Amino acid sequence: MPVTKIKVRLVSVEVLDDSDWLWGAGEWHLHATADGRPIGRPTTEFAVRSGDALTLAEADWSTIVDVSAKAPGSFVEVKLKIIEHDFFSNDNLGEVKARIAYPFANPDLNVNLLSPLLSGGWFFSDYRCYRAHFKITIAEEFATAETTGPTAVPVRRNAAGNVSDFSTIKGTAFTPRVEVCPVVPVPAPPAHMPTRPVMPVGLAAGVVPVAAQVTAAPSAPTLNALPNPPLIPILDAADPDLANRAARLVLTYYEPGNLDTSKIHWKVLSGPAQIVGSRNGPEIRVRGTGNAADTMAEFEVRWESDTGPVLATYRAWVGKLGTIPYRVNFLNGTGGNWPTSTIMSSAEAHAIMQVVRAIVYQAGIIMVPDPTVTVSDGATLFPPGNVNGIYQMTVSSNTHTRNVNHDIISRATRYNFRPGVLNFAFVHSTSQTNAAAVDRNGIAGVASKTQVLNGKSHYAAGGTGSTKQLDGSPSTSWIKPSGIPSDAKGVMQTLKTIEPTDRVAQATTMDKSYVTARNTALVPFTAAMMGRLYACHCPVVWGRNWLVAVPPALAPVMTNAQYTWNCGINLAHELGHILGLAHRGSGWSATAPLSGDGMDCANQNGVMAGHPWSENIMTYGYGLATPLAHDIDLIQASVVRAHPGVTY
Amino acid sequence: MIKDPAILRTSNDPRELCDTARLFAVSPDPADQQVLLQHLGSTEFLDKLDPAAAYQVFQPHQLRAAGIVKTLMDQTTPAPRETLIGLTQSTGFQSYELLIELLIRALSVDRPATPPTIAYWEKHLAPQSVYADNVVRAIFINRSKPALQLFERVINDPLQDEEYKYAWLRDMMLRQRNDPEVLAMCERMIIDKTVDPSWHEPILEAVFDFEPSWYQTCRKPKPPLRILAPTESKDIFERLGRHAVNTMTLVKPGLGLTIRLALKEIGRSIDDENAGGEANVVV
Repeated sequence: MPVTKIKVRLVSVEVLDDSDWLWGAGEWHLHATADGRPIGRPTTEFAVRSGDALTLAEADWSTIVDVSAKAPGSFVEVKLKIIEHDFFSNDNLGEVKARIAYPFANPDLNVNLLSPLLSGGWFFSDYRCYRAHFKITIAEEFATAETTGPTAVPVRRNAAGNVSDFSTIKGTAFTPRVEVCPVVPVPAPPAHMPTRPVMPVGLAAGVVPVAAQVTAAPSAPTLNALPNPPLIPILDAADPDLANRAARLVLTYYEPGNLDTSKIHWKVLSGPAQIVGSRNGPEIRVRGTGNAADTMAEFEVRWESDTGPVLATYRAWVGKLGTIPYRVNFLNGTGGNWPTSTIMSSAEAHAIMQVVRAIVYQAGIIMVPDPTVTVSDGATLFPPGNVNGIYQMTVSSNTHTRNVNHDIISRATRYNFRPGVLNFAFVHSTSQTNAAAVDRNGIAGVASKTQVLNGKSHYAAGGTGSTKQLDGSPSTSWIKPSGIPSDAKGVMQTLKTIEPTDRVAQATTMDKSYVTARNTALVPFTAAMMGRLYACHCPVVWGRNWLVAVPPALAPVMTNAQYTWNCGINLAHELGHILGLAHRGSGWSATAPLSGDGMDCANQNGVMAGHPWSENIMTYGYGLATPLAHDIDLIQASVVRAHPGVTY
Repeated sequence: MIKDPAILRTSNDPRELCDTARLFAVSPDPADQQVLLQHLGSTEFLDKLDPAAAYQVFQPHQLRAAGIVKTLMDQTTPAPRETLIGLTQSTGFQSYELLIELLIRALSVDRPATPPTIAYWEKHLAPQSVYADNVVRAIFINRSKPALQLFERVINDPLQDEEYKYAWLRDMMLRQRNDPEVLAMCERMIIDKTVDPSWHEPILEAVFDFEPSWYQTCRKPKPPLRILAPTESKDIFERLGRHAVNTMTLVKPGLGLTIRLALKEIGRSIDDENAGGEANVVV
């Protein structure tokens, strides 16, 4: 059916904080248009600060564009210019624009645009001011191009018994387009996606089901909150929590949009997997069976029955559930300075860890609070008696919690760590302002050498990770060629892992007195145990600015749920490094270096870029009102599952 | 908006307070600056700009006070600069640790760095100071000779944590290693031997080399493209490189080759010189 109207919504604007270019509050006015029509009111003033995220009300910041007169080759141009008002001068912070091409059939098009680079002069780095998120959806479509025709027509002829083809009522043969994309949310343009076939005129535009969108902060997410995981966990059919543990497979797109999805039929083509409950519909649950090592399982989505036409394919590992224990250690400064446990509560930390758990569960790993409550370094449970693996303690030097420098072999991660247990060191703040996985011991590869100068150790050159390969179709994350029509068959992909650290070799001198002290207080403790330190620095002030309502704003820029969601993704990203993963995508860099993990392909503009750009957990698609970075893919799953801290 | 000191005293509207304070901040009149300095030193005034929670969890530049300080930084007349420097002695302003951090950064505009700025930075560069990274970052934004001489003294200070020195060379200094003042400092440290010889190789490494493995953070520094360095800097690169290759016994494997490659990159190749040893590697 021809699309006659589209809705263009300016969803959010993020005030970039990559360089400290904006000091204090700025008064921003958003000048947005779609095909020349205004979106929102440029007279509205937003008081913003560096790092803020403006979530814009749909009713005010959207417009309907009539595209009924558009012809092939035409487009709708979406633009945003931001002016900062100041009583000294008004500053143009740059303009972004995108073109939405005819026939406007994408039902859920997310467009993220990065503002142009501005000069910072002598005292500031060059900077970009904002990132804008537009969403384009179909507002109206007609059964025919004639405005006087019927408003709806049947789009499927379902003959009695098994059907083997589809047609419009005119008799034009077609095959519905059905996708089960392993990356959710589905990669946004210009990321590569297999080109969809053009449907006969008159059919309804496609649909991205709600289950395949991540549009609202999950509240206490279940383990299987994220659909289409890379691993189907082996579970007992009688598992009392099967509904929350079995993998969820969902359609991520279907066209025509009025396809009767109750006729969608799922089939296990190969591998030790079993569908739990109904095999029909847009979403199913699956469990792994048997007891074998990780094995690939293949699934088909067919029409109506096991013998109906194949509409889509999906594959995932089937494997045992692994567990890895964790601790959260709040590091408070001395003398009452730099408190961490008064900035963030234990309950907040626990909520954040539930998001991390849901993300890591995609790879068949369950994070559990360390069941052993033996403490060191003066730690106490925070609050007393909690069973969430959360502790607090006072550091011996404030440099261990305030403005912690990631590039110095960490003292912060040693506090109350237990060998073999993930340690999230909740410091007050870091010099680089972000979190960092500084102790990546035990992963494959070669650690950098150590330079010793004046008795102190420093990271030297030479660190390299390892590689992991995977071929077949569909390819991991649908990297091109994905094996999904219209792409060619998948080819061998090689993932590079991050280089390990080697705490035992790199910090022998530095850790010597620490090891001695712990061996005295809590025997036995050996130097070799430092090699089982799996840890990251997590600054508790990260993102807290989003929760402070600053006059004249009546509310913080994010809800608590959005903050928790972003923090969870942030820590899951660092955990990905701890478990061996390197960066995917290029951190929104406009001059794209390729992915650290080597997983790149040509995007829709023909430019080689990390894939997906923002939706993988190892990208920088977070720190947003609606964060994108959730996915762990097939090849990454096989890396993280090999970590020595995971037990099966 | 009018420049009325009564507004600074009586208003409770943070935006009005900030805007009015910025009107004072642009003034070249010392009397206006005195009014501003007095208010920026008042905890009552500062508490009206931002809620207490902001002073706990914001980045320094996110505070509304930062907008006023930035306006002071943007002025080129003496009086606003005096206000910035005056804040180093303001008990009220200094009672907010985020404002200390903010001022350390803001004083980078004091070029060449004056004695009060140097003294303030030096105070916050003391061993075990949580502000040390901020000070070194400000030094390399400022890049005036007095500021860089402070860095030389820090590198030579045995009480300063050796691990931080290494990190500063590879991060803050490396980002500015095309700058002639920074390279002149390196020349003083190595050729004039103003710092202990044990630091000569790490300094050369930060000037000529770059290794992602040095950093554990996601946001690794990006060294500037050497080819874009001004001629004055290329001259110093060459002098440093020749000194290293001709007179030093380089311990770090491959450093000599790295230096030669860097010099070749800027069109100052010394490949045809110095036969023998690692320095004779043909690239």
